[in-house]
Amino acid sequence: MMITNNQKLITCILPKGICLDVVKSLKEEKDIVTANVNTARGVGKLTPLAYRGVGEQTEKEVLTVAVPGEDADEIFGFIYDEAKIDRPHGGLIYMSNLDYVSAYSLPEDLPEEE
Amino acid sequence: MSKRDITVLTDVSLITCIVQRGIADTIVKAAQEAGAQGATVHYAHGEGVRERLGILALAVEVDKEVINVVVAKDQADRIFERMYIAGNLDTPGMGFIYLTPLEKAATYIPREIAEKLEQEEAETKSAALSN
Repeated sequence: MMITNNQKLITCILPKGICLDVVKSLKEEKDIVTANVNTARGVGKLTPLAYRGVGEQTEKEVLTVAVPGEDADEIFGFIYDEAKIDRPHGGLIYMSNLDYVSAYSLPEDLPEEE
Repeated sequence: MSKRDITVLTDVSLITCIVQRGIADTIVKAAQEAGAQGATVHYAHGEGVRERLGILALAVEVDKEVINVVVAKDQADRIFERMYIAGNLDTPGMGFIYLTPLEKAATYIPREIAEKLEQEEAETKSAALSN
């Protein structure tokens, strides 16, 4: 079992429709394949329907990527730019420490998705 | 490196709460009343103590909702406590909640708020130096 330490987990909560492009950029430009996407519903406070109760709910995508500690800050900035987080309702990105991570790689000669 | 300057938030924590399906909205509302700005909720499938509770083990809903809330560290205890109470998490089988420290976070911060924060920080530093 290959275990590495000094790894970080970057999590990104994004509006629907952006995540897969970010995953593709991570693969093509940073050679990172340890990304995972799931969907969620987001509940905000600063929305027009907030007075009705729990606020407006919108569809979100959650991207999680395990990255080496030494590259974490660079990839954090890369995702921040690629996902265009720096705009109203652009989402949120955060990073936490991981104690141990198992190695993951794709099989060789895997054809690209079309 | 990033093409832009990122305003990084450092004193932040992540509260994760796993409850039976249908309860999340109540807990999110309690978190917002305690100061949380927002939350994300997704579904999950839970297994565990439900097998030993209730008639035919159906008392505990197997479908779960997972709530994630990013909060400032100084608000974390209060929001955590309010979510715990709102979800009746002291009752067996209702779910559980945990707090994870985050290294850093970033989101869109309007320019005027970022400038105000920088100004307040500069004033705090100069006051500390003069004392």
